[in-house]
Amino acid sequence: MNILHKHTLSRRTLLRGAGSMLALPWLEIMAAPPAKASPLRSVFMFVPGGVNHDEWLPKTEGEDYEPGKTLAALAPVKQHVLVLSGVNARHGEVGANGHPLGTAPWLSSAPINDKDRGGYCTDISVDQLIANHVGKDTRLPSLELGCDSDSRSMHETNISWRGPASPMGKEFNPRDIYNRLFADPKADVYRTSILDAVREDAKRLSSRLGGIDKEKLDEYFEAVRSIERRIDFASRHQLEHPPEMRLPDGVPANYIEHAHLLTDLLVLALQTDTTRVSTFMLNNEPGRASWNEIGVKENHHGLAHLDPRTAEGRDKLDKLQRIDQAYVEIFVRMIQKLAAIPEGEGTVLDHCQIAYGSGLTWGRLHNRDNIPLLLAGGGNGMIRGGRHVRYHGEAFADLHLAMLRNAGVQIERTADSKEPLKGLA
Amino acid sequence: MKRIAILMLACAIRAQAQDFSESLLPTLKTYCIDCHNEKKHEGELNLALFDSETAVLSGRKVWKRVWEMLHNREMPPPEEEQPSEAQRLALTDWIEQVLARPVAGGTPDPGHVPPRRLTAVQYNATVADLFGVQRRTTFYNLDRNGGGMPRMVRFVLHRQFQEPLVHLPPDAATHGFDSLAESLSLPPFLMEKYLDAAQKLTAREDIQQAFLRRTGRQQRGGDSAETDRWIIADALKRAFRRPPDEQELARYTGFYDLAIKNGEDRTKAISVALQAILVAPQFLFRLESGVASEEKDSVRPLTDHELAARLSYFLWDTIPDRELNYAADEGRLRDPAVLAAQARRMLRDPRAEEFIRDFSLQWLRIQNISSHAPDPSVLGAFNNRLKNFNEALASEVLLLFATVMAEDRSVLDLVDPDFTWLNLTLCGVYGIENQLAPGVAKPNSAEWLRYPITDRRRGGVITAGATLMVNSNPTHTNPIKRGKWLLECVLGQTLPPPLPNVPNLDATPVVQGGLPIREKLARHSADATCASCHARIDPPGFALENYDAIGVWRDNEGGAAIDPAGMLKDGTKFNGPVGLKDMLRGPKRNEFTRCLTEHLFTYALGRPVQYYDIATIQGIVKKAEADGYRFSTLITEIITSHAFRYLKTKPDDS
Repeated sequence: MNILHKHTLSRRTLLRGAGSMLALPWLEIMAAPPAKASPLRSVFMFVPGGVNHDEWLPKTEGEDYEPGKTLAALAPVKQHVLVLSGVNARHGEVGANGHPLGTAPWLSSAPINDKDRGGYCTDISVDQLIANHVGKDTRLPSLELGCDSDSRSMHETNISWRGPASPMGKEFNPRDIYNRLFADPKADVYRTSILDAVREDAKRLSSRLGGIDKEKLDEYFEAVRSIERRIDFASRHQLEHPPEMRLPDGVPANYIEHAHLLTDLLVLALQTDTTRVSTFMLNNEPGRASWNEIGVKENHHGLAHLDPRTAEGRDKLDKLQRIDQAYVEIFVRMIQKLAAIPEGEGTVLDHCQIAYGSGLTWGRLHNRDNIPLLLAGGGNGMIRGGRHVRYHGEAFADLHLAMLRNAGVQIERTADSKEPLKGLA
Repeated sequence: MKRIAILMLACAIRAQAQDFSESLLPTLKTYCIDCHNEKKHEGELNLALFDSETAVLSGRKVWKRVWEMLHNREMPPPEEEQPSEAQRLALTDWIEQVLARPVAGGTPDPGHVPPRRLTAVQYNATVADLFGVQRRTTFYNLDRNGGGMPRMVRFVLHRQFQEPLVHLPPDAATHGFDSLAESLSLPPFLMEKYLDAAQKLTAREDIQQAFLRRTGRQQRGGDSAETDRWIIADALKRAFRRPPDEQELARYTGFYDLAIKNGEDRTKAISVALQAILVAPQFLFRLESGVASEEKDSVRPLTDHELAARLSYFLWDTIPDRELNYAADEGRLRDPAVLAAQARRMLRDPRAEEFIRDFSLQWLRIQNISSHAPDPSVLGAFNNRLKNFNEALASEVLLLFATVMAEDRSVLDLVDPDFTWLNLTLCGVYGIENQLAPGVAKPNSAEWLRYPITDRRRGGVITAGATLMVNSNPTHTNPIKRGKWLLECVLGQTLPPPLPNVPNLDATPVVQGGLPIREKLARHSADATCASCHARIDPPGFALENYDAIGVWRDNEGGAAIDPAGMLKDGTKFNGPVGLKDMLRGPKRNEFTRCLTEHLFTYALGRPVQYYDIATIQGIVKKAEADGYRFSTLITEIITSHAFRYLKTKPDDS
């Protein structure tokens, strides 16, 4: 029984760092990193709508795998990237289908049950489990990014969750992100006492409430606490020279420029050890209205729903592949940047574990078996790239578990995981 | 007297109990239980479990779906034997009543609304009103126009619609609206934004000045600490939407004292108190739950101030104004007549423009219209008018909604009005440019003129460029999207989610290209798995095939004439857009009204419609029908309903 899914536990307890609650003796055999080692950073990059899977899947396995058209784009960083196939994201396999199931539970694999609000299950996600464990050591416990600012259902716009029905949200404006990362919380002299006062109010109000009402006030309470923690951290670790970065005032109209800016900010955040955990939704489900930047006029969702056996499908599915490739190229550019920054004996990338993928396999089938997945970075020695590893129906949660353990989160298992995914190193 | 009433009620309940086993159960047995039993529970529904009224009462959630199926004539399936219309009505009426009935001796369930964080829209409107910062209205200013919509409106709906005081991230939606308690979360980064905003806003000199002007500091004896304390107490009451208690008063005026002690001037000291108020949970959340479970069944009437806030956020997206507050202070809002009168006043206030925008764009799912990018090949001649093209399409819908509201017209006019608003762009899209009578003025792109409609292919939400375009792909129309939209947003039907085993699709016969879209989809729907839903979704979409992907009329598609005839799953026939309008004005007018009412109800309460609400909704539809479907009737019936004026203090899941 996974302790995270015992709904009798109050969510407050979960919010307070479920990941670090368990200290299991058998985990002691895991090698602890040397004291001064570079910290491990964990990043999760999400693309919407599945992929043109025919063009995604490499034709062969191993080190000399023959990539399909899309993953040929990995060439410049091939040695840093592990291609994983045959991994399933079934999340318990019951209930409704569609794009939200490829999004909301992507990083929690939370199973669906009839208690869910809005029809889709959510639970604390891997990134937040890690942030609860390592976040106290950095200016920001975690950073949530996304390019899309349209208002849509919460289950198509969030992969990062503090707990059930409690999304972390995400930022899309480059300047806001920069300020959050590097401008110290500009506390005027009154902020601390204001926070004290409103926290007391929240506590007083919350004590009279139960159920979801209490959860809402607890969210407030936890948000205030996290800000207090940031102020406290910043006061002890003065940022003397915030890195400089040229940023536009608003959000660039060109999507690729926008995505590049956000990855640059993410690289900067990792490089400066401002945060060690991040999620980045390259777009919300079910995908962008059009991809004029690469000459694709059709909407992504429409293309994803084409059948390759039809004339229209044969005609247009290469456009889906071009979209998939455009996303991968954004990823590749980021890997290149991280690989170029020296840190310790190696580079920042050596101290990263970066998962990239979609929650669906083929958009038109809404299926979640053999999902597209990449894993990049050295993972502090725990990941060896340059290979294609074929799995046989292992749960995506097994990868979650492996990444959690990599990050030092001592947790027995999550959702439908059985054991940490093998063969990564 | 009271005792007699209770006795009569008891008799009525007993009569209904007899009804169930004697007259309703046989109907269920004949028409439903053959497929929905222990062995063969089609649709995971076993109706054989419900052999008595008590059994139904304890498993009511399931029956909302049963009601929908019967009401929409989706069940029994067409190939099976059908109950008579009288039998069907007896069943649905009975289900409505049973679903709304309280447990024995209890109170009807008004539903529970969890604390609602202010949405980005509400936050901005609220802060502006709190400080007394002037807000611009762009198209809804009835007083300035002799009490009605003007002949000409000059406005351009900009990308963000209006520059907000504070940029906040968009709020996620559930059940179609971003203002529902369940999806309004408060992650740390948002709290940081609230803190920064509070600090920046209260430090702005223009805002300080506006605030002091609004509170009338000068007139109140000017610069004295006493006046300042009064000002803070008043701000607290407005910000918390109720009188503050002693503890709150002390806590927040304490910031004023602290600042004075630190040597700040009085204006700055007030700002510090306001800064704290703007991040308080009582401000950021609309809290109603209050004292729990002391009342019978945890149901209590809302206080006057809670009613005032529900009303003002429903119709204005902001805090109550002076008049509404005054009525609440005097305890008059508990009187439904006073509440209704306030609502009618508020619907005519310029602040209701926020409601028009916020509600109608979300109801019609066109709130993200700005990011829809039709392909240049579809735009054709409009390529050079691309600037604000999408916004122009949305503006037409807003002006239509505003007119129905301002003139208190029938809500059926939202679908089939005898007028429409056009600017130069829309004249072009609708091909009306050349049809205007000589001497009739032609608008420019920032001017909107109201034209009578003679050709019913135009006007109303189902043939508006905005909804037609958003439910299309960038390069071509998408009848499936349009059909789904029409069923869900106009006819109020609940569609099942996509099938869990869509991989079956791969076993369906493959369709070759080169056919008109209708034939392609006909083949696609010939497969039994797909057909179960697509036979229902596609036809109303096909009825709109005469409009291309941005709403321009066409007679042919892919070289073939368009066949816009079809029928709903219940057999109601229609032919093309005018046929759809006939249907929505005719046999389906109560369905459209129910759909709109459900959307308004959800928006007003901040929670989805529950099984116990069906009777309320149907009651409102009946009232509307008797009243010529007037817009204000829907609003006043919603706000005087039990669900709006009462509250279950205990959450459903605790």
